[in-house]
Amino acid sequence: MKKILGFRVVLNLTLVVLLVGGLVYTLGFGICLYLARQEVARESNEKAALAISNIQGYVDAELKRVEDIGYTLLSSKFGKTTRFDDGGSFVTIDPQTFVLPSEEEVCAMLDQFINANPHICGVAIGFENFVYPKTTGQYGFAAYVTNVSGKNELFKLGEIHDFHEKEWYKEAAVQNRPYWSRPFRETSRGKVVACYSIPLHGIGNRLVGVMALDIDTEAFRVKCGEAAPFPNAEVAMVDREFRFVSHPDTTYILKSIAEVGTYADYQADDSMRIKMMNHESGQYVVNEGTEHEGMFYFAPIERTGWMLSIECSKNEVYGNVERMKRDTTFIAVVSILLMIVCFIFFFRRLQKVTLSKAGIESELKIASAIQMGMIPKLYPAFPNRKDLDVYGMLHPAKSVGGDLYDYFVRDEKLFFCIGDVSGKGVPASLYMAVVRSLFRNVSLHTNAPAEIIGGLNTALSEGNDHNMFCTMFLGVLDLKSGHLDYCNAGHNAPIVRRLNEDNTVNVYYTKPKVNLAIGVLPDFPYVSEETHLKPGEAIFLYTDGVTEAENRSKELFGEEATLKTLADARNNNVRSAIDFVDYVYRTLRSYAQGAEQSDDITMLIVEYKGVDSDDINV
Amino acid sequence: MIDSKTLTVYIDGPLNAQALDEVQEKINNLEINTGDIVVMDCTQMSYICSSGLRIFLAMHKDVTQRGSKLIIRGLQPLVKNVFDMTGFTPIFNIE
Repeated sequence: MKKILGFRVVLNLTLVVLLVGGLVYTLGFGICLYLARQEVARESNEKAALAISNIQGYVDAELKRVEDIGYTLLSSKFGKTTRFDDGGSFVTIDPQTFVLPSEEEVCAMLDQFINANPHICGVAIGFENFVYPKTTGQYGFAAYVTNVSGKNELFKLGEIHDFHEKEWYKEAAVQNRPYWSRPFRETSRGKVVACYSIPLHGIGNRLVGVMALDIDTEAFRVKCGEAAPFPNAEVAMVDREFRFVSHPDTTYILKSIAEVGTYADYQADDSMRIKMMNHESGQYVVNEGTEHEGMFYFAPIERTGWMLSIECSKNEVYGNVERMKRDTTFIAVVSILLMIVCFIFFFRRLQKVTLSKAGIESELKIASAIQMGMIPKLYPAFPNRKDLDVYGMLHPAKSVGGDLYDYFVRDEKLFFCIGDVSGKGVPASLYMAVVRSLFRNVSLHTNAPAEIIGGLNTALSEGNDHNMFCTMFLGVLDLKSGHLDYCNAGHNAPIVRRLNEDNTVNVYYTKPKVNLAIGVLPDFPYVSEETHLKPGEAIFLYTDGVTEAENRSKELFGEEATLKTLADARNNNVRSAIDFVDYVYRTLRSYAQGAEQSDDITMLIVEYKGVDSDDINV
Repeated sequence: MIDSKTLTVYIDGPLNAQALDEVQEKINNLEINTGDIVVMDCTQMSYICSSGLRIFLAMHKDVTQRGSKLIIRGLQPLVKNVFDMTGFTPIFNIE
């Protein structure tokens, strides 16, 4: 029954602790995770913003370099550059200095230019047909020099196709503005190039021709890869028509978003599409809640009207957080398991200790009952006797104690004793049990107190390796005469209540001859003494638990107070032996003020009432 | 008897149930040789419980068996009362 109960307690406690611990842990973990995610998101945004401005800066600088070189070339050979208010420019021929170069001179100029500017992969210049009317080209004169594997190649485009209808020429001519063409795959080398066209004006702003510079977009693609904020982030650029200029996967290049199918499944609101169409910057969570969830950042490249975008998968952005989550969860599970193991171990031990303690306690209870069973407790002790009023009380400080008292009547004689075994607890109680049985045995054979005590002493002194001893006062009261023989073996001096001639009461300490406590020296010569009790006189025996009772301040009750208590009891009309003992005990308890009882408290009172006790009225 | 020496044991404070074990252990560790005189100096011993007397008793038996002598010195009146009451005073050498 106890075991089942114990197990349940363990189970309940474990559950409660686990529940509370788990809750606290989960809460703390949740908060940590939330904060970590916030931090990571902030960091990721910062990284992406940094990457975007890095790429933007690079691309813009490259594009601007191309533009500047174009103007430098044109103005050095043809005339002065005029800038529009909105930033666009064109070049006007200066009639004062201009001498039209020959076709060969134009081709050489382009060849030289390519050699001097290795990052320009091709340069073309085409003219209106009236400029070179004698050219051999079917469609007019246009030269194109490009570098193919370290060697410049010259194409006279007017002999191949009508370049006037090509985007690079036509758009600049029609709009009469410099123009970034849509990137295209350059036929001779398969490079994807962006082309910047600058219109050339003659007198009266009449269009004379267009020059175009090709730039390889591969450098942009490389830069996009280098600047990626996360190793697997997808950094891409699309042109004005949303065709890829740059993408980690080269097969995407020049294919439109619609064609590739990417972004199509983005579950983002329309504001993202609108922003992209308007060439604005933005950041969005895309595919939220799916395994493709990610962060999508975008910003424009103003010069060309391209859009730069960075897509980071959630797993990559929150990878560390996810790892942390996994690790922490693992640690949590392990620690909870450990906790369970510890709990079970700990409670098993506790259970064992408790059980064994409970076992000892129940054994002590039994021992106490046995010990109490040894001493007479009935009151009145001798219901049929009117010549005697006897009552004893024993209150051990612990479950069992070393004090004892005993009495019995044999041959019209009352044999009584009180004793105090040195020490407390179980060892003292064992000794006490021996003393008590010896008293009963030895007293059967002799009426002389000194002989009884001597007998006890001899028996107890033998083999007394632990130097236990017992103080004892032993008396034999002749119930017919009131004659009292006694022997005091090192015990506290008894208090007697005597009647004076005028029947007034006198309570005082006796001064018996002191014999050695029993159990010390085997052949100690014990000596009896004798006295006489008149009817109504009494002898009060006690152990030092009475005189040395302590209060909270560790002050002893004292012999004076003991004597006074006895005298007061008489004045307070306490008459019977049991009331007497009870009165003293209550006085001790109230003196103690609730302090723990430090020693066994034992009292025995023997009042001789005389043969014709009915007649006596004290 | 030439090599005999005097060993003085000081017991300070109350010799109550709490102090018993400690005192007993210290006394057990004493090296007492035949002929030594052991003096128990109790000048600072303010109280003795009944079990405390057992320490003196054991010491007395032990020392006597070795042919040595135990002297108890400086008993305070209250402590002396306990020795007197229990009848131990005559069996010890009390100074």
